[in-house]
Amino acid sequence: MSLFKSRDWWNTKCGIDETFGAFHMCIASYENTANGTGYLRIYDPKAPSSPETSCLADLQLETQLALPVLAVLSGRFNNTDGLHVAVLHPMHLRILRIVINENTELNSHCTVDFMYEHRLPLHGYTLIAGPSNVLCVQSLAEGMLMFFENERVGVSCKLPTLHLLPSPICYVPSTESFIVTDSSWNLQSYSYQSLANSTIEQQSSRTPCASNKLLFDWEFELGEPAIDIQNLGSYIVILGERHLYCLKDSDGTIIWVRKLDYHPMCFTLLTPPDFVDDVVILVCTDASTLVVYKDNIVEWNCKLPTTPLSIKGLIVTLTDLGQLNIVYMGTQQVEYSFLQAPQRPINYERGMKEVQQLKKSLRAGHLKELNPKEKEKEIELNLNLDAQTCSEYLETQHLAEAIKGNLTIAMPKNQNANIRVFFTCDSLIVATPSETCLQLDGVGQAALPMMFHAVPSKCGMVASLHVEVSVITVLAGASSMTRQFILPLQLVMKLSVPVREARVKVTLSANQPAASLAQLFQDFTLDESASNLIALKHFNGTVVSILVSKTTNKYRLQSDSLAALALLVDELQRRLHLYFSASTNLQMNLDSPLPVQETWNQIETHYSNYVELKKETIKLGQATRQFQIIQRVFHNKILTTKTVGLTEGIFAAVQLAHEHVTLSIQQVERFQEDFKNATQMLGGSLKCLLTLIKVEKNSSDKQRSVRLLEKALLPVEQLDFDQSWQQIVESKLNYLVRQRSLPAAPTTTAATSSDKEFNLTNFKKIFLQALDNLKKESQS
Amino acid sequence: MDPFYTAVSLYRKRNLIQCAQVCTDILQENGQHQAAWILKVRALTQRVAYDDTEVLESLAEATSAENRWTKTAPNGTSTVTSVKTAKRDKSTTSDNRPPTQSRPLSGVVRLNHGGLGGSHDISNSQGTAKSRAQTSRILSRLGTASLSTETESFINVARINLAQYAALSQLVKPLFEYLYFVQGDVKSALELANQAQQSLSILQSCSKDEKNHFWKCAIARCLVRLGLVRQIVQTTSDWHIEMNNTDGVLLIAKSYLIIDQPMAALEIYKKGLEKFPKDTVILSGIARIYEDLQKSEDSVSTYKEILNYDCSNTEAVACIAAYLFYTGQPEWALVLYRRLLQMGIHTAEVFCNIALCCLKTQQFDMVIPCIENALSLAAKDDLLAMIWYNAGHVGLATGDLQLAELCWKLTRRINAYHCEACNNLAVLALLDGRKQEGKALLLASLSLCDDIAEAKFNLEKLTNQDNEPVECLI
Repeated sequence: MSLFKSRDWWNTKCGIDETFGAFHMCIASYENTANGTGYLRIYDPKAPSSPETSCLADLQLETQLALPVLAVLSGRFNNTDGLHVAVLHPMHLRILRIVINENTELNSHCTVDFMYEHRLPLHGYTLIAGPSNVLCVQSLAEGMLMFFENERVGVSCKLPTLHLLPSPICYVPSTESFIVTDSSWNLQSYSYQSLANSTIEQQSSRTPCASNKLLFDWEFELGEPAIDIQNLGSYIVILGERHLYCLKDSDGTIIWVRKLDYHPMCFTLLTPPDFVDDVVILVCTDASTLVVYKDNIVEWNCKLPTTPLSIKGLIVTLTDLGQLNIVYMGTQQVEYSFLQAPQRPINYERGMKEVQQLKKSLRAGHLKELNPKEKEKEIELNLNLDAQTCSEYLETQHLAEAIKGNLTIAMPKNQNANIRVFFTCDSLIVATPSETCLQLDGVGQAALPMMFHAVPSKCGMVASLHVEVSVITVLAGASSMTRQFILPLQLVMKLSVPVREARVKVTLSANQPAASLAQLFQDFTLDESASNLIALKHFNGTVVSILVSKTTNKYRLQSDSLAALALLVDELQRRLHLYFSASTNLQMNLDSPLPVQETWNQIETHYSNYVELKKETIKLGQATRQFQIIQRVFHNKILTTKTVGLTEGIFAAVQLAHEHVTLSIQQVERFQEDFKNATQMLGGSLKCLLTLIKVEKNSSDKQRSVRLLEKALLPVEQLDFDQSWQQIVESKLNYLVRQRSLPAAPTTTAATSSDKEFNLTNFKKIFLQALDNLKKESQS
Repeated sequence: MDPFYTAVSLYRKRNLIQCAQVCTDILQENGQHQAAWILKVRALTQRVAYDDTEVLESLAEATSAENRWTKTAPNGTSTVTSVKTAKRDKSTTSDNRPPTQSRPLSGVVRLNHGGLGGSHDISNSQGTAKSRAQTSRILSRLGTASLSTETESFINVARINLAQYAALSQLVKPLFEYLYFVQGDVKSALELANQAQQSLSILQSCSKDEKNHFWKCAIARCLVRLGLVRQIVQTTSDWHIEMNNTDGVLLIAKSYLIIDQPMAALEIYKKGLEKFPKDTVILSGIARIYEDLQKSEDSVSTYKEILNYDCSNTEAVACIAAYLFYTGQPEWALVLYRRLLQMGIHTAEVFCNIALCCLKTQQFDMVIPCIENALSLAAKDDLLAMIWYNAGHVGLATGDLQLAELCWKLTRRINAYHCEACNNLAVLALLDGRKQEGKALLLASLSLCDDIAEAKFNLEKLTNQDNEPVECLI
């Protein structure tokens, strides 16, 4: 539907169900078309006087020839008068004479006279006119050219190069030569003289063989098969399958070549009226467009009504089904209009109402998803664990004490669903499996056998026994739920002998009468004598002793390190809460001061470990770089010098550097180990500290600030190394402190920029201030 | 009538399947009919042949790491790094053009960086499809020519003695093209080409100048397809200039582009222009290289030259129109897009571009019908998402923020990775006061696409407003 369309002047359909080929049309003062089943038609097109009159009236002659027609050509092939038409049949060539008697009546009378015919030795393919009454027929196979002149017996000659497929052929009158292409896609030009000579030779030898003396005048490499070759004036134009070539006729030099981005079907040449020396080329493509070239420039481009097979003259086209069109190039108004949606009268009120409704439902749908409480009721998780540990072989072939259990999941609403289960616990406890996929059965239940064990470590201590189980449903409305469970204490601690002296002591008091330790810690086998005093040992050997003072209702926990206490403070509280049921209002208090100093010691050790580790890592980097450089020098030296002795010095340097690097690595490893331990200790201490703070704070808003502090301080482990934990926490604490003190006093330059050097004393100030703020809050 | 004649005339009419059928029948009767064999080979090749000097989509070519010669290219000589340099020294404010995302093979596709917090004036513009004349070509991937099962039993490459065929000059060229296009068996095709060249050079050992460049071109084609571009580039002879058509020049230039050497490719193109002046294919190659190197004025002047020689070249019209649009001349862009419509190219991209031009030239009555047309014509999801994105901008320009929000939400719904829509939704949310949502959307946008300057700017501004490191808490 382009603007540039060809306008129809005259068209008709030749015959019904007949097939036409590329050579089936030619133009004389009338038009002749012939077709594959042997009908010859002559048209005399006139402008249609009105659209209804059929153009069939312009058919002058329709006659059936006995044989199928391969090609038709008109001109003078004889010395007699009249219009001669040469018709090529498969094995015959017939020359006919058309005589048209103009009558004054409506019809003009047209007769066909059969003049003479030649028999062809081979099946013919195309027919072109040669010089002066000579007709040349190309054979279908074997590349033979047969020449016929007037009524003389025809002569034939075989082309020297191999011609498997028949090629387009063209006669150039200015050089009197024929142009053909051969099967290796080269273009050759043979002059008529040499062809004639070779035919004489072949006739004498009686066998059609390629003459040795038949040489081409010039050759041109095409690189692709040619569709058609035509000649006009001093130009030879070749339409290849992908390119359009314009050559000089005398020796085949390129004038211009053009790459086509379409599949061409046929073309014709015209001389433009103003420029007599130029040639205008019209090419039809298989997308029914006509492209007009003049001197390698596209002059015009328009759409044809059909895909033509043959185009001649000023745009007469013939398709393979017989559609004969005479068109002229022009433009046609584009009738394209915008695709109209079915026109509904726009009812604004209804439209606005609909918009409001849609908006409401959008908003409602938006909020529906954030309703966790409902979702929580949908799932039931139960973790049943054995009370006792048992020995299990791990994958690493070690023996470990493990607790086994079963996790049951019930989600009655999602039957047959796929869910993923994750377990998260303290860094020194390992859950097997830590994550897995399950499928719920028809009732929405599933069971998963579990195993927990503690990783034995020299310095690390477990700080919490909480296990978080997360369940994610893989459904359209994917939701996740989390539950916390508590592992039995026996997993990580054992009974041991109490120790009298200890560095860190924490005292808790309760408002209920003191319970007997034997009753509290029933899962450990205790005898009655231990009702006041028990000691538990972590896996790494640190002993925590718990003493109960019945008279003052106080519980004291003591140990050598604060981190060891973290777990037990938590556990003690939990057990006390369990022991005294919820009806009695149990309230715990912290009697001893908060072990801030101990915590601070841990922080300092941690920081110094960090600094050393960082220094050592930098040294390692330098040592390795040095090693690399020395290696490279050594490598170059080896390649350049031949004698080994000269390289001994370098080799010694290499060895030295290598040792350096190894030493450095060992140092780094050591410091890493230290740092890890310090991290764990610090983590434990902080947890303990926070637990103790929480003991005092029971009301909800104070708990919020405790939680904020907890989030700021924990976790101590971090992934990257650029900033130490202390630096990060310092900025967090700064914010907390400022936030607290904002309503009180305006802050000045409290925002520490990251450019300032990290100072441990500053950190200490902030740390203590944060804790102080908490205390002040609790008091206020 | 000889059935072979029927076959030949069917081939001429491009009834290729029927032609192959007739040839098969002939071959069944007479297995030695070489002409029928050749015709069948040609018919099968013509069905799936494509222009391999243009298409750059083969996996072997485009992603081979060894084809990168220099890792650090100087400014302005590499297309890979040119995008980043253009962003770094954006001195002129008029040069606010967003980088192209795909080659202008079918026009131009550009993306929008429509951050409201940043620059106002950048709109989206879409590419156009090829003209109908060009779409008659069928693209075929490596070896997936899915013809009837008969073709698989037609030529069994493993059983052909390639050396034997290489000596038969009348059979070898069609066989080469068959192996290359239909079966996609590039290695056998390469071997055949090598052997054919050898036998040809034996035959022609007496002739002085080599006029036969077909095999050199064929070998180059195979090497490019296999990704062994270095071998081509390292040959020094000028056979591609001496060839009778432009295929050689285009192939060599393509190899240089694969190894990311656009300046060398430009040289090749210019030498080709000396031999084939006014050749629009070479000129469009040059224009594309200028476009990739961000030299838009050179690119546009080359496209204008192309239009001198071929007034209906859709790529040239589309690229010039896009350039005019971005340099503030939307009326001229509108004229050019209307020309595309007149040429008969009615695609979603053209209508979308027209809508944007109308928006800029304040012809508001045409905008909505054009967008509706574009929406109804859009077939692929990506295209649909882009049109909705532009519709959002239309809403924004007319002050209808709700429309803009709905359109951008639709964009995100269709294409989940659309970072610009995220950014714009974030700005709308912030304007509305929903800070959390805005921040989340900005972060989402940044995570989808690292380079997006507007989102970074917006995020910085947001965090500076709050004046504290918000990320560490809550």
